Amino acid sequence: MCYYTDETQTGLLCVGANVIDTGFQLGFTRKAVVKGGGRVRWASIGSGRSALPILTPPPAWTTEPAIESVLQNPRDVGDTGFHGGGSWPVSALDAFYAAWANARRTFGERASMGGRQFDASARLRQLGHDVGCAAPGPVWSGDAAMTYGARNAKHRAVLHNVADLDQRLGRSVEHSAQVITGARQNLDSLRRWVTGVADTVPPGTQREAQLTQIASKGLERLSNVVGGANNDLNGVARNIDTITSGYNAVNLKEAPNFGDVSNVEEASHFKEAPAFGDDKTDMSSGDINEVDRTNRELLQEMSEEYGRLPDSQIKTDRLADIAGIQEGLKVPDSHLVYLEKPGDPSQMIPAATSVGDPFTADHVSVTVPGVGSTTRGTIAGMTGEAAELRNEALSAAKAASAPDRPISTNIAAVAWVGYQPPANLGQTSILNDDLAQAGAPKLTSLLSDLDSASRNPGQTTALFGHSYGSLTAGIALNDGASHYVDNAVLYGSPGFQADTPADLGMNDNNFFVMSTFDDPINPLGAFAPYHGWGSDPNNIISDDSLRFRFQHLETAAGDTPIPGYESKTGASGHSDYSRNAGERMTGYNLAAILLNRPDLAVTQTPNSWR
Amino acid sequence: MLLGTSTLIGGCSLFDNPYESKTLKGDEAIELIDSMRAKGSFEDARQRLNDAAKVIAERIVDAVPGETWQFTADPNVQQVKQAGLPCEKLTGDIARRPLSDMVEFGRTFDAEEFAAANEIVREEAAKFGATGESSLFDEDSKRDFDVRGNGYDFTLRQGGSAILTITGDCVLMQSVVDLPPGQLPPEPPIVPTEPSIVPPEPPIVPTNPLPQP
Repeated sequence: MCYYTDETQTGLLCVGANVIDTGFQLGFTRKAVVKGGGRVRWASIGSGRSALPILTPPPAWTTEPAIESVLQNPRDVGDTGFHGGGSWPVSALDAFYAAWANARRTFGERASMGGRQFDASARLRQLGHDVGCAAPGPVWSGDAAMTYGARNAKHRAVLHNVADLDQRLGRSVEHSAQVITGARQNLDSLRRWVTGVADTVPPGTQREAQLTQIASKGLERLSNVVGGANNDLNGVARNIDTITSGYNAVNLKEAPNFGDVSNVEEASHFKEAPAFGDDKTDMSSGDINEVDRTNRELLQEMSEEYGRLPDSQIKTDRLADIAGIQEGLKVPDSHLVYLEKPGDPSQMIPAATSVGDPFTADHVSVTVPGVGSTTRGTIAGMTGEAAELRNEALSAAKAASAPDRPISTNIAAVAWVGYQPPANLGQTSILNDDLAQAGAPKLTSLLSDLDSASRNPGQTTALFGHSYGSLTAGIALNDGASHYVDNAVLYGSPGFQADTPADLGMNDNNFFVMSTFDDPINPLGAFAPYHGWGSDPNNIISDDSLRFRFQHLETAAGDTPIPGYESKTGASGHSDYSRNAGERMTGYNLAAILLNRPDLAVTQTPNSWR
Repeated sequence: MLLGTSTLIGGCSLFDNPYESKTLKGDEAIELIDSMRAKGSFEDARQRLNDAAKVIAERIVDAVPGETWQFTADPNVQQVKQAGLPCEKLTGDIARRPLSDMVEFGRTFDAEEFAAANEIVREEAAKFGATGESSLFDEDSKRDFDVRGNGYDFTLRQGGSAILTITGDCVLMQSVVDLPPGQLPPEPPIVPTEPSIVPPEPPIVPTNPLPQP
């Protein structure tokens, strides 16, 4: 017999011949139906992080005393895993308990070691900043200044690189600890679940068959828990391998010369050396033409190399990535500001384009795309939107500029496709933040590189994140990217792992959210607290008056604060925010934030949102 | 899982990629290119827009005592206007939307002057087939006049200063117009022979320059 397990009738629980299967993988609050004593019982199952999707721990079985009793007094199962006693036959479950005990031992008992002790990135970044303060100023020139400046830049680069590596290592260790903790919790929950459900099976001729089915289901889930954790830990191991290579690269290429740059030739040699390997953009020159040309030459090499691959999906995809980048570079005044050749050709080619010169501009934006974004399918469109955004920002700047408060028209807009978000909402990865966690350090690295290479000390940087890209941006801000960001707007967001702007290193005056009232992602955002993605981006707080938890910018049609500036049309749905920036309110607001003028943006209140 | 997710988001259409390029390829692109040849080139269109902007500016200056005008001397604006904007269905090496250089007036208009200036913009825009005036949030007190149509957008607005801009419809680059029909232009090399930043054109000398401070 099967029952719907929640109001939306999306979760089925079947009892008896169909074996119990509650489908709790989503991790959202649901109701389960448990059959016992010939009647249907209901219990609420609490929420858990969807990063541990196999079996959400049920911390709050609440409604039926009989079930509570079972769960609060699980059968005594010793380390051997064999049943210690009970009122019903145990043979059907012995295999499960034995396997469970072995699996549980695999994950140990001691508290997992966190990653913080490996992460000295904050101190290293501060040190890099301090070293940067000691760079030669404009009044010191000549060979000595150049040598010293190169050495100073080298030291800063090393510190930045090691800080990035430290941060990634700390995160990997932390992730490993979370995997182990999660696996332990899942296993403990699984044992309670099997024990509890087995206790509800009534005596009779079908009892043994049902216990066998329960044990079978328990073993299946046990396998999933162990397999899932194993996969996750393998991923962590691969990450640590990559990080180790990064440390080695620092040692090989930089440490031997650290403090030993004794002449200009060596200094210039260092300047030409990429930070890691040879396959990632070195933008330290801060010369857009040089960076663009170097990246295009690498793109040309990659095109030829991938073109020689045997026909395969990988070849098709990589050449499509390259074609997408080429198309983006046909947008007027666009440049290839970042390019990375992945070590594994099956991986997407990360890239970033810029409309305008991000090294000299007074105002720069970096946009992070969301679900479904790939280099081949996204970067050209994003680059076109960057051109529209820059043009709108320029128009707004000219319209709002005043003699006593001029607004610079030297603007650049960067489109970054440097990480791999979920391909679509049908993927399970949309329900966890693994891909965002993987992308966030890359985003931080780009922002750091842009900041280091900037030739404009007064430059402002705005970070824009759309959809799943807002989650990636939020994690990056939380992890230190806010150091490089003056303003941020996250829109169409399912959550960004923050309860306040301060969690992201931002504040109410420089951190903003945009949500169209009919964006279908809003319901997903409402679930953000239940899967560890912070507060609902559209959370409304009621104290003296209604207000958004995060400052909202207007998405509906209306006027702007700039006298005489044209009225804007509204945005709707999930995809309008950055389209046709010159026409929409959302595009205008992004332009105002890009110009570092939040006072010109149009804010939104809860009353005007609905 | 998928069922739950779809329910969660209300059966939305989140599966589309909002950034997906809509540029045409192959025969569809050739067909569109050939259908646009009669409209001339981007370079010519931009010149026509600048000529129109100049005519409008001069007429306004004649109609409004004490008013002056110039094409902006801001190199950042010049560069953006010179480059144009991308088209939806053709890549930037094939076609672009032309932008006139930005006209900056020496002082703002009062209500009567703004009405007179609007009339001039309306008349000149009509010559391009642009006759649809913006009615969104139309208020007498606003200093924003927008005429659209036939792919053109004439905008006269004043905030801190009074500005005229004109945007044109998507047109082919001269290098594409010069090619015989029935074919796509050659793919540009990944590594160009020229720097990616092209210096802006020299500023156009205004016919009635602003007084020097």
